Amino acid sequence: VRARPPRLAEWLLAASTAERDRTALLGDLQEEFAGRVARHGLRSASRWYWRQTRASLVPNLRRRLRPRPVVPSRDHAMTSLTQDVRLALRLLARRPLISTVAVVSLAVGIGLSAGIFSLLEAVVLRPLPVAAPGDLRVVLEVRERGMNHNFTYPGFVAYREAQESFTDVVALSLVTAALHDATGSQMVDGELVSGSYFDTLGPRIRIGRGLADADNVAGAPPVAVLSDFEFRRLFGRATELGGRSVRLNGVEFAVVGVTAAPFRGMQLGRNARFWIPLVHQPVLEPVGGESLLSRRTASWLTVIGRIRPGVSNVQAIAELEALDTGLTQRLADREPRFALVPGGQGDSGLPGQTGPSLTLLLGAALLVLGVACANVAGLLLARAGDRSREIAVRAALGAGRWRVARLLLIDALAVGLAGTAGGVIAARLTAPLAVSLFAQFGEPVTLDVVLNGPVLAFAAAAGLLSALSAGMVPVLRGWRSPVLAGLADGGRSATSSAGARRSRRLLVTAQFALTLGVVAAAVLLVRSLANVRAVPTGLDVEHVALVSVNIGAAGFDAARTRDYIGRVNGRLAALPGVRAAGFGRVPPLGFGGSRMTVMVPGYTPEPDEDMEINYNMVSPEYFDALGIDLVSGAGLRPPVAGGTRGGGVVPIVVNETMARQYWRGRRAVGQRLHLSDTALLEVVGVARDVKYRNVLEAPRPSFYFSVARAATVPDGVFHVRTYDDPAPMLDALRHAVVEVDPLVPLSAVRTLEHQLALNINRERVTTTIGAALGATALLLSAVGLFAAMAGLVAARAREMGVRLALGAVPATLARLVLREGLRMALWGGAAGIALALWLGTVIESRLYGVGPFDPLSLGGALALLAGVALLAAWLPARRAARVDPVQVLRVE
Amino acid sequence: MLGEFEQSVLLAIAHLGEGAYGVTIRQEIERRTGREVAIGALYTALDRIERKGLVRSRMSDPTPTRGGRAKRHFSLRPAGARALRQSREFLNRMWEGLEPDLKRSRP
Repeated sequence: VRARPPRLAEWLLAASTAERDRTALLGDLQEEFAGRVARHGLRSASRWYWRQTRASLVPNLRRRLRPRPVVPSRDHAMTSLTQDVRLALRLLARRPLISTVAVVSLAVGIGLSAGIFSLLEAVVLRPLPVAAPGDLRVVLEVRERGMNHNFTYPGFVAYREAQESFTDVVALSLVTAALHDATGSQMVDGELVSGSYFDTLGPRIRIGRGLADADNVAGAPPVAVLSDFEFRRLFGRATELGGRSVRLNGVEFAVVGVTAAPFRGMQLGRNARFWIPLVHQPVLEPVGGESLLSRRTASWLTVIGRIRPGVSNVQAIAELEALDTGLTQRLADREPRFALVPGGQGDSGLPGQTGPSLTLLLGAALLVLGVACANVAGLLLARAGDRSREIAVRAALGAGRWRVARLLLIDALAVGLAGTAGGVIAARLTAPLAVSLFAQFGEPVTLDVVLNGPVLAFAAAAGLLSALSAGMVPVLRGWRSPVLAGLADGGRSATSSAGARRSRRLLVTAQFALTLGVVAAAVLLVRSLANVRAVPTGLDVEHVALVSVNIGAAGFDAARTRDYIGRVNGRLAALPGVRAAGFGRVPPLGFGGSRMTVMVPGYTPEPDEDMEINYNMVSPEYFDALGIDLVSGAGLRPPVAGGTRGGGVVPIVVNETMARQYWRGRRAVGQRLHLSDTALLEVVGVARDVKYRNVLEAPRPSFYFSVARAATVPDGVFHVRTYDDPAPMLDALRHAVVEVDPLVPLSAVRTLEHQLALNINRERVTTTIGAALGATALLLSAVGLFAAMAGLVAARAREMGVRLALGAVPATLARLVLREGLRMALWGGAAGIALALWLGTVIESRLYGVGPFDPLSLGGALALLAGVALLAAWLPARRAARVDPVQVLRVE
Repeated sequence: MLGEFEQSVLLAIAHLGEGAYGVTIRQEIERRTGREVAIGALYTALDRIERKGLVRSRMSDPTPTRGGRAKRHFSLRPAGARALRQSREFLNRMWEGLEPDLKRSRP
């Protein structure tokens, strides 16, 4: 067998060598290689071959890329096309700085657009990786105030039996459990699911099996399916189950299957890592040892069904409403009403919450792309100027308009291709960063942002459109008479021709018009966010830390829970720097809360009034610990030992809104009211209104009663009010709480400030990305203006030299240039006002405390534009002032 | 005026006569100067001097040791010989009178 030279080296040589010499060169090397193999052995010969290859690449490439005179060819379409492309690339390399600016501008524009599009694709467009996602429906119950997703377990079982609209329905509930592994334990998300979850939804199973109905019967052995991510994290590259198990909340679950990536459960954005049959709910959610499975009053399940072919939503809803299955907790003599929504993305608020923002941001990113296109068009104009003589000659020799247009468009496409490639890379790098900004209900969001077909197609389309629209600028300029346009300039570069200057000026003006729109909208968002931050919450936001605990996991009874809460409060309050510490069930600004229906004697609710109101179970120190002032009456006193739980009158503190609404004009303290289950409450105090779930919610009635009266306290939050910034104390607080009883796991330790930031995360993310887009638009416009002014100064150097020679003061020339730059920017800004106003109305719904027509924001944006324009024109202006008349005039 | 490498290539072709093609030219220069010559650089130079009209080339039949590839044979054209002589003369004139000094200073 004859020894072969290294294939890769041979291929590199073949690719780089000029075609004329390819055969001879490769033959020579192979001949010598064969000789060397015989004398020195294969290894040495291969090394030699590689050395030759390396040393030959540079001369080979230099030879191939060396410019040759371009001869207008006979129209052999393809050969002339490749020539045009080669020429375009060569010219691109000849003006490296301007080419880089254009390519980078385009890459930034496409990167931003494609990056945001990839988020939109992952959040809104892409269905979950399940079988036929289009057939899935989420069942909702329609209530006066919005929708409810949650149903009872007995209701679900009965409904599943009776219904015929769906091939099957499944129930699931998100659960967080402590997973113990070699490195300790951590809280992980998973789903409690009904038996047919996997068969009905059809995510791919990589190893083993999914769950079955037989796993979801009382007394069935505990089994779990793990996600691909979790299985790999725990067991590495194992491809068999091999009797493995996981410990969740201290209970062993045998692993019976592993899903294939990227399935993460039926709640988009959440990262479910395990699936457990619903019957094990009491183990995973220990609420005082009580099971939710048999309760007809506990609505805790999401129901998703796969609709039968040919059955319409209307039919399925009619059946749901006709079947009286107790699916939903019955409320006050009302027939439950239902709705179905597409379930291809599972049951997640994420698309609805972030989709509109992302669409908006995508629009803004496309405007930024428009600004970038103007930079590209500027480059192409300048390049067309460089080639004006060549083009004129071609035209004179008989090249038609289309031929010349093609030449210019190929230029544009070369830039477009390079920019798109850069943009795709930029999008790949930045999209995950953007995902990390997102949070849903204070939890980080898990999204698989990928460069898949739709994203790449979007980037390619954006790149192509950008290149073509930018390429049209020089084409249209030369359209009327390519010969004259080129030759009439008498060999001067076309940047000096009045027409080209006008085009360039128009481009910069258009850039600034778009930029004003984006910047004005960004300024509106920034102001709106500042307003949101300034909304009074009624809480001492700067001085409170929150320590969330999961008391249920420790399995305490009521007495021990009371004792625990009291001891932690005491321990925290005794720490240096702490002013007060108190416990509450519901964290402030934590999105969620508890509601109870109340009946107020002497108060007649409006027909549709919601009498289910917010409440919180707190320790007496709670009000002091959050800085909530009592307006009248007293606070909650610790109940007498051996207390009155379950009987007697329960003292409550109500908020101002509740006092005002139910006892208008009367003294609230001393008033009594009932819960639906006849328990009697008496108002002992009135506290100032505070924000309960969200910063932007309207004040609503709410009340507090002592946590000591609660039968079970599954979880809650210790609120610690400090004298100074609580952030540095978080570790000390964590340790203090753990020391009191290490059995109770902590779920989060953060400042109230942080909680507030999470609460307004959506506003923050939109504003952050919006501001980044505005800044990018400004930067791109500045670059465009700079390039245009620099070109202008270079083109008018002769004129300026003459002026200087005739006695003009250099500073006057600099001012001339500055004024010209400023004028372009401000004309653009003025033209952009309409766009800015329109964008303002588009984002109106998400503005807080500032209207879409805000003169201050608009003025601020214009001032920003002017400032940036002056900066960008500064260097060219200096150059104008330093023109050396002698040098310039000598050229003449 | 010829470049140094172009001169070396032309001289190698002159030495080799009938047998001048890529392999032999490369080896001739390496043997005489001790410097390794990249085949890519050689062909670039050959292309250049051929276009200047100093050498001519013709393809020969393919052989199996070369993986079935043909050789390109090179031979000196009169203009090439002339250019070499001129270069030599030019350098000689510049050297005149210097040889003893430079020989002493460079061991």
